[in-house]
Amino acid sequence: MNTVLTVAGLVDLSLLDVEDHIEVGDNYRKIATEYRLNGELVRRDVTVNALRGVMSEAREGNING
Amino acid sequence: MANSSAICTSFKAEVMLGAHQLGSVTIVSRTSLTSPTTDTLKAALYLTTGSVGASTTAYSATNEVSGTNYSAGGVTVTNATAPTTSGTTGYWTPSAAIVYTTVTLSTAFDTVLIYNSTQSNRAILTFNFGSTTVTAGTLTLNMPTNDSTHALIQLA
Repeated sequence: MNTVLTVAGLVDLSLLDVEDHIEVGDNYRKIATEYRLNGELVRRDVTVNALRGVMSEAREGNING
Repeated sequence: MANSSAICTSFKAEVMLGAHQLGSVTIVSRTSLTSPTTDTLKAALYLTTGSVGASTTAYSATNEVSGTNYSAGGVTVTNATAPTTSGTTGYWTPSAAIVYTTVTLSTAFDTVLIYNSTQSNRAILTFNFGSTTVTAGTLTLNMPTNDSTHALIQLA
């Protein structure tokens, strides 16, 4: 028997409706897994995959202004 | 003003000043020249109503998330891989995912701030991943590939 820890305690996975929601941004992909018991949200896990970090580009100055 | 993804401007200057030490390196004018240490980094989460971004200079609890099993200041970042370079780009990425285990964060948040808890909580970087909540679950922030075009920090 597979159980899942939820706000309602340990619940048998077979009693839960499980849905994945996927969101894709410019530099991330996010998967939210929602567990519902009789329609009520009892657990929500989120995994964010950072696809690319943040770049800072150095600029060369002109010594003579 | 909304949260955004950015390398904090203060960090750019502080790197040049030697205020941050993400990997151990032998340098001049530090207390220990023979056994340099790596600073401890932490990751804090911010509500969508916050305004952390390029102008952030240090960790602040203002607009930080709160909820079950989340401690103010966030979690420690695993930093086992020193910054390196490829071509003209210096880059660095945490060596493991940032994980908040069995948390309930009911108010929408969208940004993580990575900061240097060893060096007066100086800000390093913010990363915006879109509005989200967590209910009695785990938030996992998987890091990008650590190379010159994907790393979490790229100084080109």
